[in-house]
Amino acid sequence: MSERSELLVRHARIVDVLGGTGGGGVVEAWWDELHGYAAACVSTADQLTAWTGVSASLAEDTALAATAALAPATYLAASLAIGATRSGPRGLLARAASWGPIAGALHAVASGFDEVEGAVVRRAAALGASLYGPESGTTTVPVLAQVADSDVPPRDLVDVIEHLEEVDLLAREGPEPRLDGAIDVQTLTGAGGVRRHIVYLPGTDDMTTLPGHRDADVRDMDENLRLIAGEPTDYGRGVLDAMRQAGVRRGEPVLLVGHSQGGMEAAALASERTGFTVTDVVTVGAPTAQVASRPRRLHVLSIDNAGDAVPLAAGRPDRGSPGQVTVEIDTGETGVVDEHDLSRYVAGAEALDASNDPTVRGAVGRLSPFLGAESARGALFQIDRR
Amino acid sequence: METAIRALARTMRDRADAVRVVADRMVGHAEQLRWRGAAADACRARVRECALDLRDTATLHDDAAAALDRHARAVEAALEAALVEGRR
Repeated sequence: MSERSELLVRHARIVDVLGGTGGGGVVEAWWDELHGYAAACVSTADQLTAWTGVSASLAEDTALAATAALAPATYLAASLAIGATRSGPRGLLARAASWGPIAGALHAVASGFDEVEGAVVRRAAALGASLYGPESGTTTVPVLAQVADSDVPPRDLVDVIEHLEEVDLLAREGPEPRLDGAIDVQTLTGAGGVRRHIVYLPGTDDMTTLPGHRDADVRDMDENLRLIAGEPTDYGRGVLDAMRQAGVRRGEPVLLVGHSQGGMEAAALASERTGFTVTDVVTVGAPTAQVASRPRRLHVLSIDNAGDAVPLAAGRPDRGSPGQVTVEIDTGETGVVDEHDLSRYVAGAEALDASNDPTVRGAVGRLSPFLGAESARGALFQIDRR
Repeated sequence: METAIRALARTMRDRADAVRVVADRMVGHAEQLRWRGAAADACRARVRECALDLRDTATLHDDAAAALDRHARAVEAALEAALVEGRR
């Protein structure tokens, strides 16, 4: 853990886990389980509906009708009782109708798509973003400076989030001019020369730019609004340009790691056809529910600090889905540092690394191909708006 | 005639059993899913509610079967009464 984080936040605990496989099993099989249960719900509804036909035929049975004159009172009672099994609030038809919505909800969950609550927020964000005017494009240039651990392969989730914090600090600390818009593309080489990449995406570093006063700093409030609205961003274009310049090839697995705006950008890019093979995303302190749909094979691990309101900016929390595990942490620290600060999430990552929760272990375990590589080479880029 | 009515009653009882089997199967299937979290808990709770409703509908089928049995007895009694009357 970095000295800075150690000083400010010592521990975090996991308070909730949403989504995921519940045991780190094969996620694809788990998706099929949900779709399979949805199909069983539909089949149940069909079966119950078919049985209403049996009830109807009993009520109209000629042998039964022939006895009406012999015992009219009991005939009437039996006919009404048979009719009640078919229609009415407790009958088969009503029961059949209740299974369809469950099937629909399960299909929606299994598709990782829940549209309703975020729609209003997205419209409002789009309106806000339009006040800034159209995007103007970016320049993405390699930076000769290095951050401490760019060439050190991360061993666990803490190392990954700590390195994200190191890149983030380039825009916040040190001599002027600071490296606003800096990202790191880390190329890992494993056994047999297999290459993977981790792209580190810090969050907003310009909180003050107002509509009509846009400057070169690409990670401004305009980009936050565009991301919530589901629109493409200059930051995203710059990230893809950096990946191309760093030599990331199609088919080589990519892990996008982002904090705040960087996490939103990571989730957005992973859902688009970029030409890169993004297999995993880790977001910390970032809303992700605004991303309407994701590739089925993509896995997202989101860490939200219980006291951090930013992950709720999409209008609702991400409830988790088979392809996304959301872990809520509590650092137990108040008033020491900002709840949104990356140091909180370094402590949170430590809690995830140590967790015995099967869902958490499964989500962190999925990242193991990116951890413990034989070598690492970092390529730092600065993305500026033209 | 009353035999045919009792056969209808058996059909209703068999249907009641079948409805209960469906309810049990859907709850068991939901419990076996590896899905976890608040949404999963809410879904399983809804499935249990629907299964309870199904068991209630199964009870309606039992009630219908009992009504058919009562009707069969009433028809039987009416036929015997008619037979006695005919012998007089």
